Amino acid sequence: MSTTINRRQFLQTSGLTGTGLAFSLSIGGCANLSRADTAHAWQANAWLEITADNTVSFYLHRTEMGQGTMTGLTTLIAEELEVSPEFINVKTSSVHANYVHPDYGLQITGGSSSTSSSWIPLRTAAATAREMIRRAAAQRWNTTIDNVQIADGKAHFKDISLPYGDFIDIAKHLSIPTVSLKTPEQYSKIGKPGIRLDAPMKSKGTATFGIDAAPASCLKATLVRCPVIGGTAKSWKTNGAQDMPGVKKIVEIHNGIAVIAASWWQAKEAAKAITVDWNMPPFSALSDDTILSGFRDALANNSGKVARDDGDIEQALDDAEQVIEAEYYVPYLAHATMEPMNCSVILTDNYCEIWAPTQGPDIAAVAAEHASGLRRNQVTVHTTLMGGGFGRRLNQDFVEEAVLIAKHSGLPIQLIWSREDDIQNDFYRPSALVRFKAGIDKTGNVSCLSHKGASPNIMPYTFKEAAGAVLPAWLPDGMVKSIASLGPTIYGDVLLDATSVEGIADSCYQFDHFHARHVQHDPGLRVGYWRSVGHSFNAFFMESFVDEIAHESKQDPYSMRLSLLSEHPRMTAVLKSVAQHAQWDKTKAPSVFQGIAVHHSFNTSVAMLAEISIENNNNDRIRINKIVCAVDCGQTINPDIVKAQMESGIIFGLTQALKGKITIRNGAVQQSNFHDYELIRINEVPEMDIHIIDSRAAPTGVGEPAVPLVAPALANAIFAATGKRQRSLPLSLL
Amino acid sequence: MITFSLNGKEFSADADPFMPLLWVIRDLAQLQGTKFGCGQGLCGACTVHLDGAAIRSCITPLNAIEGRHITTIEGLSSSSDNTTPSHDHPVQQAWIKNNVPQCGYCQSGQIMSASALLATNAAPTDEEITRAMSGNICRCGTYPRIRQAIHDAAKTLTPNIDTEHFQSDLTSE
Ligand code: FES
Ligand code: FES
Repeated sequence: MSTTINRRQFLQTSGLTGTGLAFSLSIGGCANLSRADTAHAWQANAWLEITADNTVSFYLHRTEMGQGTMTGLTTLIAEELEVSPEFINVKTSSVHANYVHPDYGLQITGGSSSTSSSWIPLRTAAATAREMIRRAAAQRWNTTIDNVQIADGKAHFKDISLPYGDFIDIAKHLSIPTVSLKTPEQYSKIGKPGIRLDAPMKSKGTATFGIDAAPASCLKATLVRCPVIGGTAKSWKTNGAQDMPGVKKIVEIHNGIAVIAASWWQAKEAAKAITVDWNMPPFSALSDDTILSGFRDALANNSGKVARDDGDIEQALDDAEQVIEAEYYVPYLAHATMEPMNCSVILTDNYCEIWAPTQGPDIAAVAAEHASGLRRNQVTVHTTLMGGGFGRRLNQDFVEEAVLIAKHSGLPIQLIWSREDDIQNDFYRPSALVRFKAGIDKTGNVSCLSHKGASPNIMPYTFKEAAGAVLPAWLPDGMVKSIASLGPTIYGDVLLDATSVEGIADSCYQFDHFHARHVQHDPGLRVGYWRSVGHSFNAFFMESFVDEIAHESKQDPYSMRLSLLSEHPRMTAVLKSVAQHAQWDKTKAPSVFQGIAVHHSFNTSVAMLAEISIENNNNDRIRINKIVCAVDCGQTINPDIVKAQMESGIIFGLTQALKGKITIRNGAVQQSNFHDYELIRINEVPEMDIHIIDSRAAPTGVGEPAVPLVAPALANAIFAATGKRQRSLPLSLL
Repeated sequence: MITFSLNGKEFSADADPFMPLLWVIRDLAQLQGTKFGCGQGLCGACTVHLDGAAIRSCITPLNAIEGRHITTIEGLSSSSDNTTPSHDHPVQQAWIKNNVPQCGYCQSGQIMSASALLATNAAPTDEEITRAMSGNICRCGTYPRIRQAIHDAAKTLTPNIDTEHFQSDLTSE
């Protein structure tokens, strides 16, 4: 494939150091870089920079939170630039329009999309650099371009070999060539297992996470919060907290009382003394049972919005020989990233600098802008490594809190959340209730499927925070806020939020009559993006119900899926792969049972099979023997990272399937730490058998697509073993 | 003033005797490789060695360690030169070789638990690894690789013992 960077998108050095060559291009193709921009900050806007001393730097525009983006994207550069990935100096890029995600219009890391959206642009930037070095070398050695070999980070001609840095002076005056990207047969790094570039620092304790990134001048802050999110302080007493050791200041912000001390432990100790009388928000009227009945009422009384309508569902249900019906439910879930939320702030009258582990640096900048009252060009965001993201760090509430604490106290601070703060103040994975109907015709085949779901939409919450990042910076603050406040109306009442129905409305199954609709019902607990988002529950609903249809219509669950997916070769291939590796067709020992599921999300197809056994010597408790997984994610960049992401997704999915549950009493989240919000530990991890389908297609998502499959595969295995269909999560193994 | 040995050097903390060791290490000694995850002894992110044994520093008060030896991730490798792979502890080398870390936040604690295990049991079985490592949560789910890396490190520590048959069976095609 041949591709060109246009002149405006391509930056050459002249300004700052005068010794380097910088390459960038806009992923979205819409960046409008002025010369002033480039002269002032060309390095930060570039993806790739080569200096005369032969340092190759790559400005990583997506954030590393464990998913392997740093290694994957650096490998793309390394492949075309003919250097080893370890040779490249990886730096974090700043907030800039050039790094905006082409599909989201925001500089965010999410949707398992960093690799797919960077696949062509990054390789093009690197290939362009390589070809310009080749041309520069040809000029210098007075020979033809074809005579110059580029390999191992050097240009070679006859017996001379010189590093790239030696050609920078010539290269930067050359015109920009059209380049050809390597074909898969030419890959020497893409698709080969390699080491993770971030493994050494993360194994030596030298990696700097947000919690480690506070400048030395920062004091530590903690926040005393209302037990129900959204509550505000009516009145409060310090009870001597201000005189406790290390305490510098106590200030009130919109959602609590902040204690600032020399050490975080001192701040926490002093916070214990403070008593607050709270104004309780409306959500404090609700508990688990009233929340569930609210969903039931919403499903019964609201027609909702149509998300899919193939054929004639009413007629098909009327004509059916047999109609199967079922109701499914999932609870709210917390993200529980290993690193609690935190943010460091240095704020002056005209300058705000923050250090934050965030998945959305530009949204963080807007949060800081609004909280500080400064203009956007007075705010600098430093993105740090993140101790897990899983979607939680797309919300910037912790940035807003930190900046407000700095503003009200006049002190440089680092706000660190406790684990209790984290579990009880999340943007939760939505709870959802759905009802299915399926019709079986005279021949025993499934003729139609009808779905109606009720859940809170995520978009209103996102819209509120992100509006400022997509609106022009010159809009007055008040206007940005009023547009942002429209979120709930637009996405609550007017538009369908696609994430609420993803995995059902866009299902690959070929039913002749297929109807899906969604009722937006928000009990009032704030919700957010949780690893695999709507798929995390919709795959459980869909794949469990499809299994019910198979059993009710006396079809083999595997064969029925194959026939409903005949037009989807990638889904078919992953299904066949797990069935073959797990020997679905073979007779098993009498106590061994299997459940199968297949799902398409983030453009990736995954099939999963759970094999369980009934332990007669252990009160018939269910034991999970193994999980077999097959994935088609297109061309792999680093197959070992793909495998690691499948392992990771399976374990995340196991926590959801077996443990995850946030419960509400009088509006308060009842869980608080890892004793009552448990995560899978090493003793609960089954054997895993992971297969990656060989592919030359463009890469697709890997960080999320394994998560949704675990619950349905397990539920289907449990049904096979016990004849009992579990229609809510978490599943019981008893 | 409470004095103890921190990574082989004497360290004196002028702090509340009940201040948890975790915050003494992070906020006073400025060693940030040891992480805060739960503050309640539930996750293992804060694991350090007390006289060679793995402990949770978030629930260990300063006054409990007076005069004793604390090792953190920064002090795990025998050499202070932590820049070349050859100076890393065998557990760290095995971690890098197996691409264990994902987000990496739990890994200091995992490595401290694993190295304490291997110090007393040079060739642990799967069962023994499970027991020693169950106090360390990894939200990213790196457990299969942690297990493999411990077996690998055991092999470097005791090259004659065959641990092959304990290895979990993870395949890829
Ligand atoms: S922070 Fe100490 S065990 Fe979690
Ligand atoms: S690597 Fe992320 S929590 Fe373990």
